[in-house]
Amino acid sequence: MTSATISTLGSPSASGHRLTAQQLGALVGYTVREARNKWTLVALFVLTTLFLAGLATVISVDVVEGTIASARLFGTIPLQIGGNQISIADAVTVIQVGIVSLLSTFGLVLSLFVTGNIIPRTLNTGWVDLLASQPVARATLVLGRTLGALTVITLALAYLFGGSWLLLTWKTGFGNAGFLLAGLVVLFTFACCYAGMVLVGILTGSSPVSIIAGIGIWFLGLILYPLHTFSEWTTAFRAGWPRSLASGITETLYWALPKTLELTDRAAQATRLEPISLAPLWASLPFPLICMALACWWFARQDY
Amino acid sequence: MNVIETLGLTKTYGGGPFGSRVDALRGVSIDVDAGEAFGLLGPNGAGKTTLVKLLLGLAHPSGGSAMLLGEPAGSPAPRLHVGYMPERREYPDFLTAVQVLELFGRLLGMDQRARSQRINIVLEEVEMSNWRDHPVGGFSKGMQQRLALAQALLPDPQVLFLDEPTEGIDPLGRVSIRGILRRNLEKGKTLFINSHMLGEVELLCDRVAILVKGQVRREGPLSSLQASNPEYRLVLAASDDAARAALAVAGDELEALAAPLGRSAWRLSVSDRSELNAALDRVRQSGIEIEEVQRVRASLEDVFVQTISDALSEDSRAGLPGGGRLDREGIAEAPALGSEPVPAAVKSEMEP
Repeated sequence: MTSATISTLGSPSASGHRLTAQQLGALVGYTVREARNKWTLVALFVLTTLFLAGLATVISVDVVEGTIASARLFGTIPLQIGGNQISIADAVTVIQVGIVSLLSTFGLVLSLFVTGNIIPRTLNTGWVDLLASQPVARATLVLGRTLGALTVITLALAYLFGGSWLLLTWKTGFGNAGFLLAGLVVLFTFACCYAGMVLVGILTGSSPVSIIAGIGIWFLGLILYPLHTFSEWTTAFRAGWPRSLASGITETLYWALPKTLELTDRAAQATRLEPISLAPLWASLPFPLICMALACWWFARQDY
Repeated sequence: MNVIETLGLTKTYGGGPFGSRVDALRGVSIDVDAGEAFGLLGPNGAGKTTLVKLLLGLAHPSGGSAMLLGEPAGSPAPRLHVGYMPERREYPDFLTAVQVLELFGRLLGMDQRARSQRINIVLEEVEMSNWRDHPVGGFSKGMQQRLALAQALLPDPQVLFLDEPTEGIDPLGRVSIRGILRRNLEKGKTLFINSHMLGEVELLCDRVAILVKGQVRREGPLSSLQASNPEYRLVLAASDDAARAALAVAGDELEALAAPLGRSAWRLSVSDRSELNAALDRVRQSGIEIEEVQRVRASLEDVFVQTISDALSEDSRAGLPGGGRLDREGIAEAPALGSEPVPAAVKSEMEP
């Protein structure tokens, strides 16, 4: 059969990488549309808007002859400029570190919850058949849905980080670029946990199990760092193989899973404009890459 | 040219240390020519959907080979020119009909202009233009069926795989869908219809294959399958006893039919025309008048039931589980086919 005979009106025209790119775009667009139609994302948007509205009222600034004469937190706590009291820059940084801490914990868990059913929904009987019967590689389906979820969370974070950065810059005149960098670190932390969720979602097809896995990965990252740093805790075990086993399990998990606590710390450091070590980012990177490769491989060999 | 070609295709599910092994397909070899309407028939659990899934790359074969449009069936490339309407589908209820088709158009790699044109054409074709901007969640089953057909037609496919295309549709809807499929046949498309709606298959298909327990038991042009065991309806001016004695035909080849008083009517099954003539000669020699002789074409249902009955009998003789006997009326006589609830379900699933 020649391509001439199959080239009729409306026949597929794209090929190779262009086709894959178009398919990824279609899946990302569909995922964003799907998220937009769910109450969870609407709730996230409303919460963010309320937060930004609250933030707008936290700092009140008095401007005299074009310069900031005084500023107050919550309308009462004075921020004296040039005196011994906290400076505008420090106050803004403290607020931004607070936002980063909030987002690295509560915000991240909420994001995992919002996106938890994206992959399991793809596997629904009657929908996965339709998608997988298209001229789409199975890996493209997984990657497209994952990129869609990341796009949703990127938009949500951009709204929150961008909104609060603009508000604080406008109110105080202090634009902290480190805060925006922290947003990228939070997004990276989410991506690491989400990759684990994708793998579990593909393996089980279950939204609750997938969400538990994502939150579990994040939580383990929080508790493994202290266990890795303060190895004295292993003395609680009998010397010999019990202690070696406990230490071995902890170290294996520490190095295998994303370093969520250290990533949170790096985000706060970035906000404070301190020099940051990228080691936790590099050390966390293999986890999402391996999870995605395993998810694509497993999905490709399944019968639907 | 064959657009679909399978050779010794097998598919086994399970079989691991913790699962029972199910042989869904056991050496299926079929060819479908371009422009042909091919019907794949079989009771539930026969392996029809598995065969379609293997052809579309939704499942992986355990053995044998399958080609679609000249390329290995599992590869994405031939699927650019294939439309698939699965029996069970679940469109996201928040998408409108156009948004569903937009998504699939983009997955097919169509550019914006081609997408827009094709969407208008297929929505028009399935008579859904007025519903284009309505969310799928509010669609009736018939409308969802039409949308699925529109989606299958979107790539202007060379081959259309249709899994129970008229299931759950009212008679008018069936006529309409049949018309759409006929028009596509006239355009040279190949139809691969997977169904147990025998009436629909009979009206649309040129050739059928009957799949029983993962094996093709019969395959060929519909006309030749229906003509394989000629049957005749005879009306004789005699009582039942006299006519039966005159015909002198074995009991299982002769079936009494309802007849007016003083007449007797029979359904006579013969292997060829000479056997019929011999029987008619015996009737004449007995001095009985022949009022009517009419060739009765076996319905697809007859062929289907006979094929399954033969398959069960063969299995019974071979001592395989699920063997049994199936007669025209007493389908329930057949025991269950292992894990596949086939025979008892056959009759109820056949179109009245």
